[in-house]
Amino acid sequence: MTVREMLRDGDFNVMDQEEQPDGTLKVTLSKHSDPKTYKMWVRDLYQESEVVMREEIT
Amino acid sequence: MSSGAPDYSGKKVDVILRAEWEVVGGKDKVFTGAAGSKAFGEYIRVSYTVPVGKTLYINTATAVIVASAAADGDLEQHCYLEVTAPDTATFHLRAGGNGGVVIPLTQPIKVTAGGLLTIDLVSYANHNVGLALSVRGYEI
Repeated sequence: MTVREMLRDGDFNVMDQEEQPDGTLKVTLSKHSDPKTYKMWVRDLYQESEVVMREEIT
Repeated sequence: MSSGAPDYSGKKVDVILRAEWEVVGGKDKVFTGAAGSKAFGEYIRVSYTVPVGKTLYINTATAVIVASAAADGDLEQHCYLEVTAPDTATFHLRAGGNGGVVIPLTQPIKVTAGGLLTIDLVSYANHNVGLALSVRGYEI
């Protein structure tokens, strides 16, 4: 499952959103049941022009 | 039952506090956002679309605004927090504060499936500030 799919499914407990200097939005998801942190950098979140630039799981 | 009363025979019924039920019956949700240096009128935004088949309830909103520079630390730091759903035209919460605000909601904000929750925190300080928001609730 991608980070974008996690967001769409509501499969998280905590979500942080932070604007980046390059204009992208960093979305960080985490779950109580999972020690991993799921991140994606996206443009135009929830708009038709939404584009996920990259994802990272740590 | 013919009397109209619930039939609890043979079934287990628990009475629990609402706060406990929110964890057991739903998935608790926390939405956060922050930025280091914003000028007058600038804002941070956190948004979330509630998935199909789910309902989101927001029960607490907090905001923090602090000066970016030490020299401005003693000045007033005015901010404006607003929560909109299901789109950016329907306001559910509008609040202002100096230095921040904490708002426990006795009646949760309900956002149904497909609704777009948007949380904005705007600076109305006359100097650059750091902004942070945290909105809590649960989804079932």
